[in-house]
Amino acid sequence: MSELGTVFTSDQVRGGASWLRTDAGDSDVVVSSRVRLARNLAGLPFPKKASKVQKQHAMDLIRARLNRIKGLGAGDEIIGRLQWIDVHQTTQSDRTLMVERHLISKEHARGDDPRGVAISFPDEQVSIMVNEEDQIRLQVMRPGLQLASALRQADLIDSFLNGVVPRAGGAAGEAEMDRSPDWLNYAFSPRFGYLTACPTNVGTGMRVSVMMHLPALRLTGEIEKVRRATKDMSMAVRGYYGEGSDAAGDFFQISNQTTLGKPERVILHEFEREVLPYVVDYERKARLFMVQKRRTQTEDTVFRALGTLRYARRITPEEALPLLSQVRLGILAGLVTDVKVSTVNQLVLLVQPHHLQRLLDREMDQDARREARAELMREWLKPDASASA
Amino acid sequence: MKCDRCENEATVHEWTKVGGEKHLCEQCASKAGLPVQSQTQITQLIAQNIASLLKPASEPASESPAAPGADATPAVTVCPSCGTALSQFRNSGLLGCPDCYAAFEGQLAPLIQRAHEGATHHTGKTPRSRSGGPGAPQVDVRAARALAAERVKKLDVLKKQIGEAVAAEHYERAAKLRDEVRRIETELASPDAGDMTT
Repeated sequence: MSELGTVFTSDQVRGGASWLRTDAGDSDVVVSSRVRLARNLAGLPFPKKASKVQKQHAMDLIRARLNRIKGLGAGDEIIGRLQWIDVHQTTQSDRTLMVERHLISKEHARGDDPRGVAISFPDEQVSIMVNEEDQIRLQVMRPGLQLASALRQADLIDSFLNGVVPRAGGAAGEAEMDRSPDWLNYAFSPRFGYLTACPTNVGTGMRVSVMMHLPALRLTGEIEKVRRATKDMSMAVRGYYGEGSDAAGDFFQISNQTTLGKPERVILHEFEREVLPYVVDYERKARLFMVQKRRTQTEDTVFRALGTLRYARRITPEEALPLLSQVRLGILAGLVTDVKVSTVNQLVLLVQPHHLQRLLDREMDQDARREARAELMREWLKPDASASA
Repeated sequence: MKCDRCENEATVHEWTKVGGEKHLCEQCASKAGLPVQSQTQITQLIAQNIASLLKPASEPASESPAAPGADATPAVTVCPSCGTALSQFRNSGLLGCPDCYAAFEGQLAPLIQRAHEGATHHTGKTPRSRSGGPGAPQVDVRAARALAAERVKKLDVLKKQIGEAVAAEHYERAAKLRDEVRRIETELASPDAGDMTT
């Protein structure tokens, strides 16, 4: 086991994250989909206001219920056992690694009061933070554009926690009340819906978001129009690591802003049908334009990026991410043929400092990391190794 | 990436066809008038709704259509269940407990409406609830609210009496009154007020 931490092994890190797979719909533009539900328990203060004892109490209740999840759902979407991690007792390296893998938030990684996360290993598509801003932050991630599937699973887990379980032997969607008494009593008001620490999350408590790769819109300067348009439609555009983060490497997270007043399915439908197709289409047209009308310029950008990644001897994440983004564009535009999109997707994760250290299973200073990162790029992007991962 | 104007990490980015790129931290972006993402959404909303959130305890909350009794009860500035003061919410954007929604309903309703594009009521999933109807409050909010309002009123009276006692040079009485004020203030502000775990 690594001295850096025990939550992830080097092999797990090397294997990548399943929500970055490229076999799902629209994955040329939509990298991943996510549905998040915020929930709190009735009769307890929200985590920020709660004493240590109250936080531990809430966590014990939630964890006991989470522990009973096994084989929930059906088919491809079945949820096996979730692995519990006491975040406040893990190493800093493990915490940052989980942040880099989008399993917990930066805020959740900070602090030593009782806090935890339940993760569905090995796919890591379900993660449930306990004692973040709200007591429960349940997220389901999917590769490509699969919001409906993510919502289905989030809804199922949410209902299970709340004591509403699929009817044994019943048809899909049929539910019954769980007789076991450990189900969670949510804080809810008929007027404001699910009650959350921040009033911007009340109502459904649901945030749907997609991670989009928009390099062509960025290079053609059209991205600002998308920002404005999505803002007009009450969508927020954020960076790769969520709220307040940098739009690193042209990866943008787009999400709904309002959570009250519309049922979950309507929010999802409007987002998926009335917003995303236009952005996806806009990006594809911009890519086509770049290849057809500005071919040499685009090739120059793409191949310079690939050249740097293939031959650099030291590289920072800030330099590597935009270059990986340009290479990804090059592959999808048919200019680069000896690198796979999936390789680039995984490298976007692996360039991050704690991924790199865990992959090589050793702590490194910044200089050593830059060298190791450059070496990793050379190894994974070798001209003759189209399927290195 | 560093902010163009200070040493902070840049988290707000703007691209313009003419001016090129700007990379700023949230503070500098706000100063430059750039739209800052939702991290500050709640802070902006609070600023826009400051009038309703600043209502003094002695004035009824006029924007409280769902609380017809509000005219009779003074608006509450401290949540009776968790002791969170409205001023704390103004600063942090976070409420203290589920009961804060009932305690501050009059002040929160306009802010929530603005945050959710005019929506005022939840539609969608409702949970199973332990206390009968969905989401029935765990404590008698109305009673708790009245109790807190009473305490706030009492504080005002006590403070006035302290002034009078000091003016009349009755220092012993003033000290006793001060102790009483402290006791009530602690009760109102304690995170364990009402012991919500049991």
